Amino acid sequence: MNAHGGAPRQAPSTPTGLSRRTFTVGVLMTAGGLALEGCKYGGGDGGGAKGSSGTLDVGETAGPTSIDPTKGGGESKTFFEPAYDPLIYLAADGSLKPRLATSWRYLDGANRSFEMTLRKGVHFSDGAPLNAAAVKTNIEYAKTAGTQVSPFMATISNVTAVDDHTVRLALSESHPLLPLLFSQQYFAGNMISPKGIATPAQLAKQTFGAGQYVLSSAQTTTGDHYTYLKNTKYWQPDQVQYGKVVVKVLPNENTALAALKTGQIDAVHGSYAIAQAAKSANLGVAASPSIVMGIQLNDRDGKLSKPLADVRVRRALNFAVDREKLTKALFGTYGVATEQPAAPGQDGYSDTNVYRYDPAEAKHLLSSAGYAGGFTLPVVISSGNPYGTNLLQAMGEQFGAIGVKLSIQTKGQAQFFPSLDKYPASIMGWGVAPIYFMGRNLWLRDAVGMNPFKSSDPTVERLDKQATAANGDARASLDRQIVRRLVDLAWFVPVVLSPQFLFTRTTVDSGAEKGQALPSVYAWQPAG
Amino acid sequence: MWRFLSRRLLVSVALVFVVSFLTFLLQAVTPGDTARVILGYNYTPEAYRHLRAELGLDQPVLVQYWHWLVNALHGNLGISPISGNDVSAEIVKRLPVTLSLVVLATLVTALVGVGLGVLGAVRGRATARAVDVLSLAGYALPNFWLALVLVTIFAVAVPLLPATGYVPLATSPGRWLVYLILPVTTLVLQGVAVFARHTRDSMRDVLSRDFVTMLRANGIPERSIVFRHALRNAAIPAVTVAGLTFIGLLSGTVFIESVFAMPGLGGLAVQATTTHDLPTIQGVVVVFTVIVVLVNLAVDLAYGWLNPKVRVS
Amino acid sequence: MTTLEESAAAEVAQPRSTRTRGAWRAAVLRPLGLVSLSYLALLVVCSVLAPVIAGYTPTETDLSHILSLPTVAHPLGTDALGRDVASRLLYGGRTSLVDAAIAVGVGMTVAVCAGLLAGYFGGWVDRAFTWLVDVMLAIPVIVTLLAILAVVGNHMSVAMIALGILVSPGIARVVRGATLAVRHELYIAAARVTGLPHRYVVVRHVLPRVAGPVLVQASLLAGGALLMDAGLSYLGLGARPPAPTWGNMISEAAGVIDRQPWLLVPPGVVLGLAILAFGLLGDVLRDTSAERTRRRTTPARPPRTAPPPTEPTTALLSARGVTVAVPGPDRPVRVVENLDLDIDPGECVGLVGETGCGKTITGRALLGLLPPGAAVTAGGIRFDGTELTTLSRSRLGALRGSQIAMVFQDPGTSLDPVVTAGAHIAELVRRHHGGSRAQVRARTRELLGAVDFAEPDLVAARYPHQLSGGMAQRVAIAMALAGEPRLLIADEPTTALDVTVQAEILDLLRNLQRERAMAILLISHDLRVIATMCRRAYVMYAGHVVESGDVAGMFRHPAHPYTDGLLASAPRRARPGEDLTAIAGTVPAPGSWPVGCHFAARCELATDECRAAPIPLARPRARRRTRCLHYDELPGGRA
Repeated sequence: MNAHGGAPRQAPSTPTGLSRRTFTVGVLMTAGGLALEGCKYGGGDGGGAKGSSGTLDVGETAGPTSIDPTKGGGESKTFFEPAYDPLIYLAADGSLKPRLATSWRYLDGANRSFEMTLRKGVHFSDGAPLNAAAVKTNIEYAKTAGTQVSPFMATISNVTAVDDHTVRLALSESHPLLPLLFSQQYFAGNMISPKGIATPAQLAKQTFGAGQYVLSSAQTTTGDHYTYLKNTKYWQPDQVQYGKVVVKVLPNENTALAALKTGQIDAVHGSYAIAQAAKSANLGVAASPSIVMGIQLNDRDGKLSKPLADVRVRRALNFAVDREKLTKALFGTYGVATEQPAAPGQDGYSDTNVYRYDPAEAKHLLSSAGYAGGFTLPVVISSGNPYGTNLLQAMGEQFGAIGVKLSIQTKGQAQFFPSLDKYPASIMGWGVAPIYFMGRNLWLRDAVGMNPFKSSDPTVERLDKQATAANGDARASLDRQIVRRLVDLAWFVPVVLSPQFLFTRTTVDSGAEKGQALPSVYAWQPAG
Repeated sequence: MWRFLSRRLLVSVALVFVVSFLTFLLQAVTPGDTARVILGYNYTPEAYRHLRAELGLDQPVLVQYWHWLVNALHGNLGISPISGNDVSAEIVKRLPVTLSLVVLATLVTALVGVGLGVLGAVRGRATARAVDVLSLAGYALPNFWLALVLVTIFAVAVPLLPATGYVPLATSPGRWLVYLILPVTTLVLQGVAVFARHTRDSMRDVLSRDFVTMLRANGIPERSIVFRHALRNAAIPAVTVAGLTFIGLLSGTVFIESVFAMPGLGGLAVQATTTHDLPTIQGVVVVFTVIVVLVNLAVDLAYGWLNPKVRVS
Repeated sequence: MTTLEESAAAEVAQPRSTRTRGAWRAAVLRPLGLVSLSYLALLVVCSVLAPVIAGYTPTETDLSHILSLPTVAHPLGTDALGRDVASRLLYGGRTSLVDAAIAVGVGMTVAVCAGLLAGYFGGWVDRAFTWLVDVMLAIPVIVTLLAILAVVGNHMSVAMIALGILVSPGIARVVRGATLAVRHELYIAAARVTGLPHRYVVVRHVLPRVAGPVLVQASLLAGGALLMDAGLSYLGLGARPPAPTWGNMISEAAGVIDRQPWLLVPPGVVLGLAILAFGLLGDVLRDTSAERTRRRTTPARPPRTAPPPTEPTTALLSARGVTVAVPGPDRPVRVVENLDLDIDPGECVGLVGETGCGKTITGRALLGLLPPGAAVTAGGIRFDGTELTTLSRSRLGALRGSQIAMVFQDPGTSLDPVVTAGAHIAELVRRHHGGSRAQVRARTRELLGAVDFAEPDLVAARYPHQLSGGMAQRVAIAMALAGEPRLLIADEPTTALDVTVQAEILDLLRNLQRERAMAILLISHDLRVIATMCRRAYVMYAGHVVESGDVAGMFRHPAHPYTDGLLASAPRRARPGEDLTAIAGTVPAPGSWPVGCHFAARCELATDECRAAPIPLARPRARRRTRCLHYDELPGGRA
């Protein structure tokens, strides 16, 4: 975490204190319910200067991994979203709205052919026109250049420009979520000028979008503050709310909060550490409990830790955790205890509770598996992840009660991913997302990323196959079966849906809505 | 003097080579390279190979070092694979922040340190003790802890001062100063103890010398003896202490800039460490080394300039 | 760390004594040393015994009691997971202290080996060493550690080993300096000559002698390492949760600063005190090895009552019954007793005696310029009707230079090395007369001319180190003249000078006295100087004026056996600058003076009566005084 803030470790700089990369995935897959408090402010605070010519000052507790929208992840969103418009807009209420694309549809019943119609007369900030050729370049680049979203685009076999404003995608396998993929939430929708794609080095330093603003290099200090000025070529100039957006990196959350209180900034993403203080200072507190935290039992075949091969052991670990207590201690009223990789109200969520807190049952399962004396379970976590570290430490104590010794191995952020396959378990911390996406990151045999031992389950693979081609209620039902199967397999020990926060002054209306993800920065408006 | 200086310069150049080469060597033995950091876990082997080639990581260390060296001599410290920034440009951009902080802190440390030192030397034992205790507290308390306490008090509990950030001098000198108050105070608390003690010792030494008695005996008032004569003599060793203070506080910025979120080199170093950003950390180490070398040279020059024995002969 | 580098540099700048045997014992005996050592010992013991004395394990969570303030159950409160802060501090001490021990072990081993080798063998070993140290001292420690951690990952012990190596050059330099000093001492040289193996000599003879500086450095390094360890773990490097470290506890506390600021206090205070204790211990060790001889002394105090009014006199300066005491181990020690002295306007009066008899302190007492802790404890000094011993500091200050001025023995050290000759005089001219810049400059030039400089401007621009002894003394005299004083006290003004220059200075003083009608009190051990310069003189011995009178008569017919001895021991044409040591025995030290005549032990004429009680002043003839019962047995007495 906090890779670019140059930051002290005392304040978690991503909302849940997840490792930088895991958090990337987190937002990549964000959905999750949003709890709002004191939202929707009327009346400004007399600042007055805010308005279409005013300045929006946003705080972030960490600098961007990259301002290149194909390289940066969720933690970098605030830094590139002002400059990039998506093809499709995921609105604050969760609905998909036309943006650079005016319409889209699957051409077949099996989600294997897809077509988008582009808005006419749109130009990138460098003057290049947004047309089918540019979109084709974007999609092909995102698919091949080793970017974050590549795994979700692997099945796009062919992109054709039907005409100047129509793009058609052929897929080798079914893909039910292409519209969501091309929204701002999943990055592939953020269109980059072909010039930018041609010069990836420049892409990390300048913006090449078709968005409301353009990064001003002269008024920017990398890692400290980023200034965005109006894009004179923006296609709907009357929708631009501010004359200037400044994103400041404030790595210490407490000082970020102080900056918010004193009006140096209008809004900041933060964590539970300052939630109480923000609330008592009458600031707007929007919380979205959307990051699943816990432990991933990656070594499901017992290569490194033999006990993990036994499902009874994995289930025992799930029974040994007092989720309610942990949730309350770690996140107060903002967290939601969970045993499944899904959030209430989302696809795949099931209401039945399998793993209540029951150490006796856990011990019984352990001894029936032949591990009555317990065992040592090494779990790896990256440095600079205070919430994750706290969670592991607390879980370690509870595992201790059933004789399992959790040995926490902290790796530098550089060494964390390379060492995932050297430890039987790892910290879990990713945002809940549509089951299709999560499967491709987490539990399918060919998942790219967090399935280091390539474990697979025939049932899960089969259900996923069916779900990709299905739609509507049929897919929702299949998703539920997948999640249920995962809970039974106990590949994971999920504990809590931890909250992401957006704290705001009365000067700004973020448009956050209950039950949804935090809105993108370009949707924010001056209040009053 | 010039012989001495040129020898020092030679040593310094050697030093920069040694330091930079060692960081390169270390890199060779490390697991988990920059390419994997960039890719996170969502990558395919082809993407990994592609990126390694793009970054030149597939070449032998010596070749990589040679490329770096040739570029460095042209003022180009490479590109950060993490942020895509030009390392030299990044350092040039951040240097004023760190220098503002350290130069100001050194000046204040010197002023306060000299003041306390003089007080300790001129006044009685009780004053000296009090100065000792105060300055030792500053010396012993970790600066990052002090910084946190100061932030808690002056920026969070009673928001009088901005807790984080930095405003360039050119933008607004007033705000530049206001933003520097807390970090500079922290650094001063860290450095003032040593400065005060050195000043006191050398003041005591000077005040016990014969010429002071001579001046007193012939009617030079105490004020002039302390401030004109003793202080000027004590200033000569104080220059060395000031140099060491500068270097010490420069190191302190690693923690201070992190706590106060200042976009300086210390923060950059920490950031580069956690992201495994080797070109950047290497650049910072080299620049820190160069600064240390320059400060040492400046101290030598100032020493000569202040000391008539060296200056005139 | 700063302090370490600085202290190492300071150590190099001011090499300290290497006499350190028993330094530890002495350190323990000092209150600060004792407190520091006790605290550190307590930390070590508590850390070792943590499993026994801690109320909880360091990882034991209590999720229903998180972030609590100190309670009976949790004397230092609980953290974000409800863990007992006190227990975590105890266990954290283990990690932190072990880390510091690694750095100290590595750093001291490298430094001691390298420093000993370089200092002991010298030659190319030493040159290579010096070069390497120069290079390494410029390596910025913290960022280099960061670079190393960036590469090797989360290994604090690697960082601590690196820290030890990085700070070792400064320490090695200290060790080298100490070794160098020891190497040349006789018994080491002897040991080497007798062919003992180097290793034996180094380990048995050299190492114990450099142990003092090594201990000082080790203590400072330990403090620095603790600080660095905490700093790095605060930055999140090297953390091994759930095992606590102090730095990690601070960073955890910072994370919940808004919810429970108290958590910042325990680790900060414990760590701060530990660093402080190491620093203080280093100081105490250094002090004990450097200043073992310095003892606590009792300063002398002036009497509370004003001195009795003296009889009216025509003298410019008149001292009566002056007693001066300096600080002594138990009580103040008298160095001048019951001194009477008169100087008439324009008169040149001599004060003569052996080194250590109280001449200089008498001269200084007249100006109220006694060293710290010394005071006039009895008697009075009147100058032109004003009592000086009770005069306020400011009025006394106003008197100096303008009424009474003084020049000293060593002209080389009596000028401020960073100020030009002209500036010295100009400052005094301004002080005493004021005036415009031009006036001051003119007057300065005039004064330099008055002390016989042919090219005053040239001299004015010079710094003291560019002046010869005689020139410097003339500048000093010009300074004394700046206020046009009525009395000049010249304390051995020619002793440090060459023979030919001596004569010049004496001529100058004699001329100035005549031209300006300025009285001079000439302090000298050289009878010849007194004889050529003064009409009247006082002879001092062991704090007493033993005889006074006209020079011509007194030197021809001394009325005190000491004066007689002085004259006898001086060859007819005494060579200048030579001490008079021909009298058998030595001068008794202040504090061990006999009750009766101070000279009795060396006096051929002494009787029991001489030793029984203080000797009153006798008046053998007009204008002559002597403090001897048997003066009439001397030629001067009989005449």
